[in-house]
Amino acid sequence: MNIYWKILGKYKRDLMVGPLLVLAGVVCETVQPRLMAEIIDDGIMSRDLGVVSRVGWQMILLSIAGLVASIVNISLSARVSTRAGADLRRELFGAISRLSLAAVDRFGAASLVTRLTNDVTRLQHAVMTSTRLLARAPLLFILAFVFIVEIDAGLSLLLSCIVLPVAAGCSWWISRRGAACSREIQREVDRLTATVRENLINFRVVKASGMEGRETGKFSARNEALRAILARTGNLFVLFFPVIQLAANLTLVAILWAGGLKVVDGEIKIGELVSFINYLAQVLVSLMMFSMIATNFSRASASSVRVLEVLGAAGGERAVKGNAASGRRVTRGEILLRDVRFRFPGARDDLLEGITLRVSPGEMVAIIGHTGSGKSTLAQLIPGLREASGGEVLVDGVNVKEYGDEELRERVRVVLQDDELFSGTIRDNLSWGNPAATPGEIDEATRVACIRDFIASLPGGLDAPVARGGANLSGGQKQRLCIARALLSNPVALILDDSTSAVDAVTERMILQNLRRGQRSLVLVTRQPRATLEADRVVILEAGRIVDDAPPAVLLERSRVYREICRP
Amino acid sequence: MTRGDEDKPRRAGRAARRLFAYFRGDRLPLLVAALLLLAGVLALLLASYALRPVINDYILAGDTSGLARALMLPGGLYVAAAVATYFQYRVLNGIGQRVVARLRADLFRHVERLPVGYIEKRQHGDLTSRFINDIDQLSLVLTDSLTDILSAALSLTGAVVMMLYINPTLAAVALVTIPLMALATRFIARRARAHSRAQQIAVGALDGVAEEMISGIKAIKVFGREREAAAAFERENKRLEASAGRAQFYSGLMMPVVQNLNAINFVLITIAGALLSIYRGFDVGGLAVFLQYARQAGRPLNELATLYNTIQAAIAGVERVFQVIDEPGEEEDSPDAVALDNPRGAVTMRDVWFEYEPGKPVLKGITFSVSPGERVALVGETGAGKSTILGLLPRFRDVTSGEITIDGVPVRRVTRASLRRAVTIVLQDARLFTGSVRENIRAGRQEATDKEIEEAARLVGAHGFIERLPDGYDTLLENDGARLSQGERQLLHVARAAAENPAVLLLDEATSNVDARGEALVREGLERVARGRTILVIAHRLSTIAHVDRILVVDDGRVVEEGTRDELLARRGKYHALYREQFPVD
Repeated sequence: MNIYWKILGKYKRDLMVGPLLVLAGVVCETVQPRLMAEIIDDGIMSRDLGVVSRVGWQMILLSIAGLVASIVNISLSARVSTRAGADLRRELFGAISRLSLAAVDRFGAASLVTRLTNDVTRLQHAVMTSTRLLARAPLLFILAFVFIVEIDAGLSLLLSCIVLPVAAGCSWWISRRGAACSREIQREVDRLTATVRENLINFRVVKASGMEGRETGKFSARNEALRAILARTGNLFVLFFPVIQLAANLTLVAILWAGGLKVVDGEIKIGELVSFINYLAQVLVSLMMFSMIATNFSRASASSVRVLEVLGAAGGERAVKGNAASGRRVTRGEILLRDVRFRFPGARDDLLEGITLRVSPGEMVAIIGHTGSGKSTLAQLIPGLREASGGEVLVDGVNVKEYGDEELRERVRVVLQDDELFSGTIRDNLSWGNPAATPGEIDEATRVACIRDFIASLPGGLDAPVARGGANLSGGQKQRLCIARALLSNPVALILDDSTSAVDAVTERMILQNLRRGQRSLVLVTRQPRATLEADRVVILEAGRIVDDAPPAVLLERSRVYREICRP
Repeated sequence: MTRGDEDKPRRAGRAARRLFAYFRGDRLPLLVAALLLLAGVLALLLASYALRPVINDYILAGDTSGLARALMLPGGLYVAAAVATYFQYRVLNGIGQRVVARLRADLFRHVERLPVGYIEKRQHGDLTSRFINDIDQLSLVLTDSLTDILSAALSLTGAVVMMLYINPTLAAVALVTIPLMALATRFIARRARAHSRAQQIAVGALDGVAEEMISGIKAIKVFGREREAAAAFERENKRLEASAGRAQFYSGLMMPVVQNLNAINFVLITIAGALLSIYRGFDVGGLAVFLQYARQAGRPLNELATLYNTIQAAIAGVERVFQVIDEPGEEEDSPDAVALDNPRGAVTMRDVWFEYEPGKPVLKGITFSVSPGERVALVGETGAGKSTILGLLPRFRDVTSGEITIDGVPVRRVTRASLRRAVTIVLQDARLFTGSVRENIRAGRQEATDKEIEEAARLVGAHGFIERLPDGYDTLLENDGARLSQGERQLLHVARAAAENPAVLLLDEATSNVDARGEALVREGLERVARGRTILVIAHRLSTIAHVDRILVVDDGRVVEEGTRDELLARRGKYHALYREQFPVD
């Protein structure tokens, strides 16, 4: 909730002026029936033209004033709501970029995009309508009620006895039943969606095994269940309007009866009775507005939950929080993991257990294991992209938490398995590694990554365009560009997480040999055995544990697992 | 105005006309609803008119004894109107939900008939959202807006008629301002629409940036580019803020402007009514009733203006649904197609070419034959065309040229249903269906008995773990069998294939997503299912195809080598190179 107050707090002035404008509009609106009574009683009944024209002008001017007030107010609330929407999107985007990798995976990119756009738009819409109605509904109700009490207290009592309880009772009943129905509808919608999704995902199997008939039958049953609950819910909601309308109309009849008797007795005048009926309409409008606010809020609340979930995750769970103030530098690139444990938040079991591993400067260590053995997570622990649940991750003998984030990630560079390129030019993408890179440095990095000749062959060279997500490049070209980009920050330790999987064997060997020149520590995470033969040591990871760690030649001798991987 | 804009109303009209077909089963309820609507509107109009004598003849005349009796008529009419309105809503609600369900069922039936190529190209989320979001929009209009419009139009007509009847001069005053209001609402609506469109474009741009930045969030983190990413996002965010501000202003303007213009209209009528009453003796009761009608006449304009957007959105949704329904489904069986009754499982491909995009062949003259009961592996690099070859056999796609036969009959001359009974496939990335274990195994052959299902499970070695599940074969699986291990899930797929009892079994990387322990189980299960059937298998890891009879090496859309493993290794060609890459040490 705090985030909303924080954002709306910026618009305090507008948010205070808004209700004042609403008040002005409501006053103009509620004075009208009173003036109409004056025209009827003092003008028509007394046949006084002067009163008619004087009061008539007043009424027209009031209407115009009301119109102006509401136009100003609308422009104000449109401005506040769109600005607040933009603020919320900005906050949310910031929160998303602060999310830990685990949280990004958990939400999924598609869901994060929806939250950032659709959900915020819905909230913005709710703010727009509610800011006005929130002030207007109670003000209109109170002022209209004050005027009718002033006309005749007895009649107002009659009004409050019939219309108000019926309206309140009816909306309470419907909203309670409605909420139960909505939950059931949501369940049925989920079931129907699941059937559709399963069919789309499995469409090859569905076709190959001729399941179309069976699936259509299943869908029909779900479809019918959804229709039934929708119809049932609809029948509930259609009750609302006729009941409220009937209550209002019967009140009208009752007031004409009771009020008519009072007019005959001379207690009130006929014009006052007519205006009373008009006030009744205003009271009803205000009641309708209350129910509109309620629907608005209930619609927005689902979006709000989804937005707050992301904001909350950003606060709760994150990568290693570096200590930029220490000013500590990474100089040698020695990596040491000591009895490291890792468990995803909410998971039952550890993904990594008792990992102890040292990589010295100039050494190349390959980590090999099946899908799901924890290799990538291990790679991400080193530059602090994920925080170990236990044990210590040290670089140059110092815990990674003691470095500033930027220093650590620049000097201990990881090339991720699903690394991305962005729309722009090749130069733009490379500049991520080092915005101040000289042409010589770019030349060297692209040479090492074996992508220099390819870039040179492109029309425009370094200024050739890269499509969104690098869609205009092949997998191997993308991977090599990502490696070059990583090299530009001149890291002393480089971690390649399956970053050469789409590169052919010859080029891969060349890249690895290029990388080996110098005193850089290299960690190679891979599923392919061929690359491990280049390494000084091979670490075999199985179900989150290191089961062996030795030079490849030794492993071929003694490790059955490694032999199985490398041999038929 | 672009051409697309001119076409829009016409396309919308077509979509609306097509929608009528879905009302066909509900003619009688529609008639009933229309009559109820008419009765409700009429009762309300008359009730208002009945108030005129109440004011003139009883209240102003001081007749207290008759007042209560005179009020019985409008009171009764109000009750009748409420009852009619309620039942009309109910009937329409039922019709609306039935129409929507029919449309949804049609859409699903059609999706099941769509060719594999179409579904492959589509975002699943986009297709799913047509079932839910798009049809939802329609259901909103059918159940709420449509009645609102109809009753608004009827009340407007009725109110105008009554106003003319009560006092034509006063009606003239009221009717002069109504066109003015219509003009004002049109002016605002047009601007609101233009700005909303601009806003939609800005939303699209923001979506694009957000999508790119969020998909690349890991890279952004690694390179510490959060600030730059935020700046790129903020540019589009600002642009959206500006256009959204204007769009919200204009669309928000509609209601208050109409309300206030209505109020001014009201004042003008009051003043004119007062003058008429002083100079021409127009009755006060008549004026009070007239004002009621003026209020009723003003309401529809207001509603039509706000409903416009809902209806537009619904029509756009319906168009998106029809778009899918209009996609050509799989080709019908040719008239001379034969059913494959007792398939033996002989498969041949003769000079098969295939292209996804014209002029870019993926398969370039594939020729091979497989005898019944033979096991053949397809190996080659990613993108060589192996999966495409497998997909041609059950006719997921049809060849561009060349011929495929099963038991000597060209597959195009076999009925699709019998062909797909003879051939089944196990994939690496299939998902279990929501439902019981039993239903999942039975999925491919509805007529399989419980005993046959258990036999299939025993055959593949799944019976043991199924028995250990809380409800055995009746255990409900949800979310792709979340409580099962990868190996167990894949075993259920294999059991499903076994229950179908196909002559030809296609395995596309069937063990590659399974961990080491599960892989052994699945491989054993497959071994047993394979007995006596023709097997075509794709496996990336060469170690998983140790037991095949023959290997076809596919490279760039051609079969470049063919033979047993030992023959191919001895030849030291493409297979040998692939083998060396995976097993660098011997």
